[in-house]
Amino acid sequence: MRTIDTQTALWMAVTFILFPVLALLGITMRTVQAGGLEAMAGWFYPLMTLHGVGMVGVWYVAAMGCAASVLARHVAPSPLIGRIALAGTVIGVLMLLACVLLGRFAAGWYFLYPLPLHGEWPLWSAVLFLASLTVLGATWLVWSLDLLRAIAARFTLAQALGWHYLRGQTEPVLPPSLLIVTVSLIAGIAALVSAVIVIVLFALELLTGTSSDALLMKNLTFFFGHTLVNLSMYLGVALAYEILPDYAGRPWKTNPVVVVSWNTVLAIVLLAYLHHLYMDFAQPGGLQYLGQVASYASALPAAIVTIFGALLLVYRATMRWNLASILLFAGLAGWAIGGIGAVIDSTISANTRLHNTLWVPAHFHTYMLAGLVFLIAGYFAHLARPAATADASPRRDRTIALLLVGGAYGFFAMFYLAGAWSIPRRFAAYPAELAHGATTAGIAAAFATLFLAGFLYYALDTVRQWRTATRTD
Amino acid sequence: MRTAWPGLLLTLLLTLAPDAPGHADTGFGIGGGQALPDIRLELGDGSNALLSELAGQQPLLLTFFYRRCTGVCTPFLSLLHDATARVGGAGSDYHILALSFDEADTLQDLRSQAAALGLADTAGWSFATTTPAQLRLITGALGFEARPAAQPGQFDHAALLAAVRQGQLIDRMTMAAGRSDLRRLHALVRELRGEFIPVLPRPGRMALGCFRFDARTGLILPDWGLLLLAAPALGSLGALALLFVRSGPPR
Amino acid sequence: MRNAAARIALLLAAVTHGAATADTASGQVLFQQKCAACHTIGEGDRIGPDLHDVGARRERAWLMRFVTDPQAMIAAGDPVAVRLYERYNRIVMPNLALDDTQASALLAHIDEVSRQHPASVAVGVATAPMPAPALRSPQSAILYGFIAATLLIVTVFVWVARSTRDPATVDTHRAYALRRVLFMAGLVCAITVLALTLPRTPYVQAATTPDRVIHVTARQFEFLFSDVAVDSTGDLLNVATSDRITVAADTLVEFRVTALDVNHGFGVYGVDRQLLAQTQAMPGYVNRVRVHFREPGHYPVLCLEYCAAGHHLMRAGITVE
Repeated sequence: MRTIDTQTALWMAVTFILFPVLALLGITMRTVQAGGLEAMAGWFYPLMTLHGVGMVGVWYVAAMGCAASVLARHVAPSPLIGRIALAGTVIGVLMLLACVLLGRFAAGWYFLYPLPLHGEWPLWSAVLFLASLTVLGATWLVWSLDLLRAIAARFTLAQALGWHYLRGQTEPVLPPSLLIVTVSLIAGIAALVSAVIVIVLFALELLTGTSSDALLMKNLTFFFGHTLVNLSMYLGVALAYEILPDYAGRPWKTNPVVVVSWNTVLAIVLLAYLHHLYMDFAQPGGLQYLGQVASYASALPAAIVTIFGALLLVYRATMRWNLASILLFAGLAGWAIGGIGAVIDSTISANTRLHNTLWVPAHFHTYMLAGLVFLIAGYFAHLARPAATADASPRRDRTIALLLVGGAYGFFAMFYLAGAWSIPRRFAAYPAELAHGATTAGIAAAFATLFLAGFLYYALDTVRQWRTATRTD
Repeated sequence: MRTAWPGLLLTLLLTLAPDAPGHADTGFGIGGGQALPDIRLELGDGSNALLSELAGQQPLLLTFFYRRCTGVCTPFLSLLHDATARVGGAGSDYHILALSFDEADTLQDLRSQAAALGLADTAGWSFATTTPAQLRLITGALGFEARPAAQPGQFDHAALLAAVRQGQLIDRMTMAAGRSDLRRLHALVRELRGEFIPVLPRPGRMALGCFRFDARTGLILPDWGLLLLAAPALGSLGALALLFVRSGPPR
Repeated sequence: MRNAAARIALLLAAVTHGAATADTASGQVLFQQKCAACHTIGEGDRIGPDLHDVGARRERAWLMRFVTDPQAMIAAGDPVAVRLYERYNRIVMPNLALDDTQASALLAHIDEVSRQHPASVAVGVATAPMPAPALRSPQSAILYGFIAATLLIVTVFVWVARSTRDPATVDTHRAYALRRVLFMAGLVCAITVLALTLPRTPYVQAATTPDRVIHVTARQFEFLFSDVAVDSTGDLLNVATSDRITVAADTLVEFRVTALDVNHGFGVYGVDRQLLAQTQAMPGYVNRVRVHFREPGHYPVLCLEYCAAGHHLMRAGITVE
């Protein structure tokens, strides 16, 4: 079945509307840093907050929406919960928009304790921000639990984690995408529980004046922040496992190596967040070293097995290249490249030179934008284009891919260069010593505009193709 | 300009000690931090020493007292004695100097103060007096203040403990009468044994923390808050148990 | 310069018991507690305007109203208040909860300092944009290593994509053997990098002693250096602090970094304007980071953890002589 169900179409609409707006905020930020748009300078940090929370949220729900649509091919998620997830997300986003646009709330997307309570914004905007996160967190928690319930209805936990493959059994068949979604959902529930604890501790301070331990809050914050972003990426990779075989004309099945690598991810992924606290020297040293080992250990098996598997799948295959398959393939490359940047940053001795410089947005933009966004865009393109017309216009596909890839990597290059130059992230304006940061920001804004143009072209084209397909159905 | 400290010190010297002797500005610090004036001390055993002789070889804990104090002096010295006894290393790793700031104190007073604390023959402890001019130098440099109180012979003052390493002030604490900040006291003593306490107490009510510093044992102990870090994983496991065990799959 | 002078004045006022009036002394305390993070008296603009001679620029009644309730004045559309709000990045001055006596004391203090000291621009802050420096190690090694890895990945992906022009059946057994080799190579590589990098962490080893200990207290939006620890805002009244220090060349300095309000990042940049070392400044904790200052020159300190509107203006300076 190739047509989009209503729910996936709605998630696609949410993504196609919110992403360009949030990207425009990002371009505005880079322009302000370059010294342009002076009138917006005072809005830099509120926009940064909106851009950050918005992007993390949009691509998390997009990945979850796609995962739900993949799951629906194998198991039965509840359509009602799916609708609740959509409604909760929309309500949460509206609250978020209100607190940033009306209250100028600007504590950054991970609202590091106790900053929300100590900013220049009014207290109500901080309360509204926390309330919007509560709505989003609760909604997503229920959604994750329902997806797991749907899996549990057909598989035991051991089967859903593929353990029977280790014993040489291949029945019941577990598609790799299901294995990865299971692993991601389990980690996702832990992340959301952590977010709930953070919000409860904030509420405790607001209601009773009991303050919290800054180190504890930082651990909890990065536990949920890192894990949520990380698992969004994994859900995107699950999409590649699911549909890349269609284009390569070869199967991509679960086998013991795939099972071992993704179970390793499950065992380790909850410890990788520790690399966000390397520069908190009060954190016990053992946890710091554990952070580096866990970061390496969670990157290696999944990346080598998945990347190698994808390359093997495509190598000398009768590949049907169109926008969907190009984006999926490029998305895996972006994941790998961003992963290298991340592994470098998760090395303690390098982190002391890179932490909170633009190297950080450099690597996460690489795997989010050229990784996750490409994978999900590829999946939407795959759903929207009926097989018969899939190769309709290779030239248009190539133009879109070129704009997206060229714009994105030009934009990243400026981040990496500025990061190596120790330009701090999250600076509304650069001091005279770091004036070269402004130059790179200007070039980055131009490349990002190119990317945005490519994305709008892609989105319009995808919607048009989908409407054509539904009309002919 | 260079750092503010030389200027600050110079101003203090000019203000506080116009009659200061020649070696007032020959501090013995080496790293460029706040060097202490090298004052001349008369020790309880009747011998003389320069501050640099005490603080040059070993790290030094320096505090002020006067024998007739009915306030914070004796309790504070006793807390300090307790802390150094618990932490250990007095005499081998660092030296403690209790300097009288009352002109009326005699050598006999120094000895009786030491005896009252049971420190008469304890290694690493020195009780000393100095001249008023030299005293003004060192109290000025350390920011120690004492004013004559309403009762005759008494002073209004807080207890001060300064940690000196390589002739430089590296930290300082004050303790007012009626307040006891054991954490700071023990942290300063441990500092001179090469230990470092990264945890500060926070004012006001606090929810669960990660670690707390136990001043008595000197240990940094895990606190209940660490359990919260395990909660997400436990929550996830709990959810799995409920979902997968309850709705067993059709075989 | 002025900062140090103001602090010396405070110290003099404290030690000479009542050389200044009680009014300006409490004004000094209030200024340090409520204003100093955003305003200077004669050292230039910070988050808000330089208050040097503000008593001469504005009417007394206006100042009293503004100091006691700035937000009401902006809301009421007072033209001067609104202009200031627009000019200083639309950051509203918080309500300081001062009564009239305190407001008077504060203004008296600002007048007093303005009268005693002419305004001067802060030292050690570059004003003209500086050209980009040459990339130094290890940052250069990190960037070039990353570019090499990226090129390798791109080459492999492009090569695999082009191979689809010439489809063929692939021997999966050989491919799996290659995967084993690659995995082992990756494992060896990861373990080697771990073995090489884990011992080179920035955490302080107990066995060594620094040449100098400097305490750093961060708060919105300033870094304060001092010889002794500052554990609370109250300590700021007893401890001499400065946002600039000088250290001797070839000195191993231990910074003990904490924060009074929110998380900040203490980032020490080298003379080549690239990060030399950093640690977080966290309320309730002291992080110590050691820096060996080898070359003479100016070492800027910038805040590396976002801490609200004045984050990018929060800085300090270390001069090595």
